[in-house]
Amino acid sequence: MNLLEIENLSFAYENLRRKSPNYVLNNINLHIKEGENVGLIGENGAGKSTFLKILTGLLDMQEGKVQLSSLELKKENLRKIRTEIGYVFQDSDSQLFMSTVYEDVAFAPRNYGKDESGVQEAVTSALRQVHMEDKKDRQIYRLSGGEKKLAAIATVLAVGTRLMLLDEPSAALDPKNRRNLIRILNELPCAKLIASHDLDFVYDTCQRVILLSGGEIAADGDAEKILTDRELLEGHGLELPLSFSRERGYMGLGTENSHRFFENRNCEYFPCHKEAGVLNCMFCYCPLYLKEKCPGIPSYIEKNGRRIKDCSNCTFPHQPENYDTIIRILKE
Amino acid sequence: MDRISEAIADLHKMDMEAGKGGLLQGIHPLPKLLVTLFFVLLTVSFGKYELSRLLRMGIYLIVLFVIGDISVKLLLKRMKLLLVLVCLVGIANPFFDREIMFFVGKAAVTGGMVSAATLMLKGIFAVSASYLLMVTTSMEDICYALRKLHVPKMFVTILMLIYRYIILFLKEIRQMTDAYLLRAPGQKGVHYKAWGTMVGRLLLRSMDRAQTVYESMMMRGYDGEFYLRCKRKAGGRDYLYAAVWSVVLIGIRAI
Repeated sequence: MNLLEIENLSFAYENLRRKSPNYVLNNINLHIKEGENVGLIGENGAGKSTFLKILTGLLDMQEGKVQLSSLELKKENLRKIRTEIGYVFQDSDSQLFMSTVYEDVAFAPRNYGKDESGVQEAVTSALRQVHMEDKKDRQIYRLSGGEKKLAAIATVLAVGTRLMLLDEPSAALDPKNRRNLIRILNELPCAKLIASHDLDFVYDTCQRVILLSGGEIAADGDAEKILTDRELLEGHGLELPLSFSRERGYMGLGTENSHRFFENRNCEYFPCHKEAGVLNCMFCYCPLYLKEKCPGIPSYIEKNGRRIKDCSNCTFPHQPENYDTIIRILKE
Repeated sequence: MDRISEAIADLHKMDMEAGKGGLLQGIHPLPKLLVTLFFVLLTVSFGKYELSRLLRMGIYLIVLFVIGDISVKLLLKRMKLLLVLVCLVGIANPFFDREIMFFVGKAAVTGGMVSAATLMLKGIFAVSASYLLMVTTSMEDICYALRKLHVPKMFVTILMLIYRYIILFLKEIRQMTDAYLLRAPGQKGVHYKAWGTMVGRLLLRSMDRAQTVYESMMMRGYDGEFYLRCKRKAGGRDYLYAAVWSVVLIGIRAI
């Protein structure tokens, strides 16, 4: 079932009645299904942020029709629509304006008339989803950049959002926080529309990608297909994600992409991780996944300056003499 | 640390102090606000020559500083500008009111001197009481208490947003001055020729920032009012706090 349907959407910052308006968005048609994760990519000025702001009603739509479930995007429906669509701003500092995490996450439920016990429930649930229950009384200014981003996501989740719009969510995050954000976004059940220049991030979080160029949809389809199409990306001012870059000579060894690579191909070499329900392959650096779900991992093993995890439960014979074989498999 | 960063850190510290679990912090914001207002009201009600009686009102402040474990040094540091301004209020009185009231040794003390000192003291007491309220109560709680007293929501919203926005504003100033100073080595402060441009840019950037904050509020159902709640209801201890201080303050005023 389609959650969001957009028909013939056009937008210009000037009057559309002018002879030749400068369209920021021109005749956009698309739909997003319930629970679907969609990446919105495009070079600077392609209209990504404008598109997101139109969907939230922060910019007035000029032409076309936007429908969320049974609700049409109109001024009189905005209040209801904003409980269904949440917007995570690029700058978390501007999004978080109360003194503590709790107060900020509670802001929306209170505005929508929940009583205090309902507010508490909503805040607890939202913070649980982003793994920040222990930081609810923390002052906003004492949060790190990554925590601020998660708190901003929690503020949106607190009203039971069905479609989350994220504007450059990985901007200014260090690799660890970025990976943590990827994990959390992948855990959230709601649909997501992620506008980003970080194509690796988009690949790790989205099954579908929409490429915007010159205010029009230049491509819409499977993430892997679009993100590996060098010609298409370079033709629209983008570049291949680093993990697909041929110059690097390997496929994101130790990255989120490598575990997806194995998962997609039903890799037979890492059964214990699969049994534990872990998405990562044993080459993923992220300790969070493995520590949580596969306690049999005692430590890292260093090989040629690369950290490889050792798992005592793993039936794959990953003794040092087999490392070269593993790396060869990955390269292939 | 530069002065702007220090100011930001001070605001953050005050927020943190207000949120920590001390004896005064644990009291419900409404009685605290009422007692503070009552104290300020009684303080300003003293006549202009009632310096010695006014001094007794200091008991309230001393007790709160002691039981709240609040640093007077920090008060002086944080409020120095305001305190200087307050002290300037009565500075002209000695020139207008020259009637001799009493002698200290051989020095004559005029009515103007006494009234100037009284005015200054009133100001200092009022500022100190407000400071005590701010370091023991979060801005949300103060605004909640103000709404409980039926202060118009527009006023409370503006107060709340100004307080929050000051930090963003200071951060913008810091970013701009840092960017300027990094490209103006050896220069002390911002050259006056750049002031106009910088203020203009600051205004534009502040408006952008304010717009984003407002959009963020709109996205979360803001309809013109902050629906503030207090974490707990007022109990016996809070009523007792208000009652005891009311009696004590009235007593001090009456004697």
